[in-house]
Amino acid sequence: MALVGKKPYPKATVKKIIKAHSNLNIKKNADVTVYLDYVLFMESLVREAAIHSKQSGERALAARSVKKVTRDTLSKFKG
Amino acid sequence: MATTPTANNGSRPTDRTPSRTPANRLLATSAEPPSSRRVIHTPLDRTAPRDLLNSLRRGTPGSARRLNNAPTPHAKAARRALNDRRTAMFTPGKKRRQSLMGQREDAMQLLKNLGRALAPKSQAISSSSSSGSSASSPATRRPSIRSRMSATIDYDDEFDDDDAPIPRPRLSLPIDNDDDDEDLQRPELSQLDPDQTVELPRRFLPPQRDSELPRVSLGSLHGGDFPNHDPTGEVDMPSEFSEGAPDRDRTNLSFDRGTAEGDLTRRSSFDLQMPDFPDFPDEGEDDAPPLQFDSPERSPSQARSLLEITGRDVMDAGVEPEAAPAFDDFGSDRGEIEDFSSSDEGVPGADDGIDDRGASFDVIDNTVGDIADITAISAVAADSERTEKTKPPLKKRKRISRHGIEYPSLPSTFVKRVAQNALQNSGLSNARISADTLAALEQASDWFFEQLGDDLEAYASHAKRKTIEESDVVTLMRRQRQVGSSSTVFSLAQKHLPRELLQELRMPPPQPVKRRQSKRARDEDGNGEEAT
Repeated sequence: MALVGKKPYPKATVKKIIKAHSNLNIKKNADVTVYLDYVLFMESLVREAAIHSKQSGERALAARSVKKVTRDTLSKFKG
Repeated sequence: MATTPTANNGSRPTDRTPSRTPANRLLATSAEPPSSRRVIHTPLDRTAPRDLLNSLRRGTPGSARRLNNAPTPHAKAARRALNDRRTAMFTPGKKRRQSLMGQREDAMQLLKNLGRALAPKSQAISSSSSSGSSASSPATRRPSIRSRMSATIDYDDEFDDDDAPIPRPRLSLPIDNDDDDEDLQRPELSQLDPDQTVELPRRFLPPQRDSELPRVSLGSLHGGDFPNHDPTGEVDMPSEFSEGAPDRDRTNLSFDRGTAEGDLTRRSSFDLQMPDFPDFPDEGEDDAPPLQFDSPERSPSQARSLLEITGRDVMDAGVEPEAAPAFDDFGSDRGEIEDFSSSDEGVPGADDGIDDRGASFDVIDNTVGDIADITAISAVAADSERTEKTKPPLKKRKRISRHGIEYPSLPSTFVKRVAQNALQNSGLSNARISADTLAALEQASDWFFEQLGDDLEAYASHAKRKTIEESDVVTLMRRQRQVGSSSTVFSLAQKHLPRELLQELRMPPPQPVKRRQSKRARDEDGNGEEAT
């Protein structure tokens, strides 16, 4: 599970992104939870997209279905 | 267990088996044809593992259950047989089905019988099917047949059917022979003609009959426009009721019908097209003046025809194929109404297909302006799409948030990794992620982070803090229904985060919230389990 010799996620980048969007500082370990949330978002997005692309008869994950599903998933993850 | 019984049985098979367990003996007698196996030494091996299996599979102490367990394979087979028999008995249609099958397969059986009957006699199959298969055997015959062919060309067809080699020349014959060419040309001519000739009488007929029979159908609507003498007959449909003084020699019933038909037409979205009508007569005059001059009284039908023509022109002029299908709905509506009219007016339904085409064209014509609008709209949409498409790369390069702070984009490898993990969990057959998909995912994650940043800002500023805390994120996740009664942050983290990050999640000691601590206590148990 743990990726050896690989950082699990670009911590600085995530922090920068959040900082830019919120114009606030981030406490030290809050970004881990943010990353967790992102992973959850990605999971549901990919799940929905997989369902959609399966319904449209594609084998792999289709970009079109991802785009279709993005809006719904984003609205689901609206706080 | 396993070893001892074998040894015992090996020494005295007949005595031991009953003495040890009655169940075992019953086993042997019931399940297996006992005599042969007891004589042979193999039963020792068989009984032992079976005992083992029984004891292992179900720890039930009772011997009776063991009895039930023991004969599993045979009992299964027996039950299966019973079930089969039952199903065979209870499925009523077996005979029926067979008879039906026979009926259905009659054609096939006929063909099969034919094939069987023909198979021994005829060798022509190879010739008819393909040249490659036939090349070997009938190659020897060919010269003779060709000599015959050269001698008597008239017999071509019959000879070819019987003899192998020259099916292809037969196929190509229609092209070569003049007779066949004529046959081919005739339908083309017939197709060309009706477009102009057949439709003209249809235009003329309905209004006449309308004048005879006032307001039977939609055509009568056009008939109602005669006094107005407007080329745009359909526009005047509402004006019938207000201005239509000359119509009053008609009965009230006719008026009622007219209203009904008016509703019909309104349903068919004529109202939407009404503003466009004033433009059409001009176009019609430009395109086909003679039609208009022929019968000014039958203006509506003319208008229709003109519209048709203009529509064709528009279509020919290259109305976007995307725009055309959009009008199929209107066309269908109009087509239905025209069908009504045709049925009422007694126009022969032979040219229904043409009718439909005409109807679709009509509508397209009625909405020439609309088409223009829609093309413009589509163009605008395409432009907007383009802009949308062009925007993201710009964003990716240099992006500035709402607050004017530049921020880097997430590395695509990271997005890909996360998405691939998610994909593996989602279980799609092909777990690969194409470049397009990755771009879409990146876009989505960008949007997600933007949204997340806004939300976190809202939460933190609501708490009058200047820093985003973990509690904000947890609140957000609770609002997202990610964290709830069913799952905690830590259970989710355990599922989705690598262990180091779990450590980090657990590390921060200052957690003032009570919920948090209780969760942590719960979670530490889980972590302990996971760690070990």
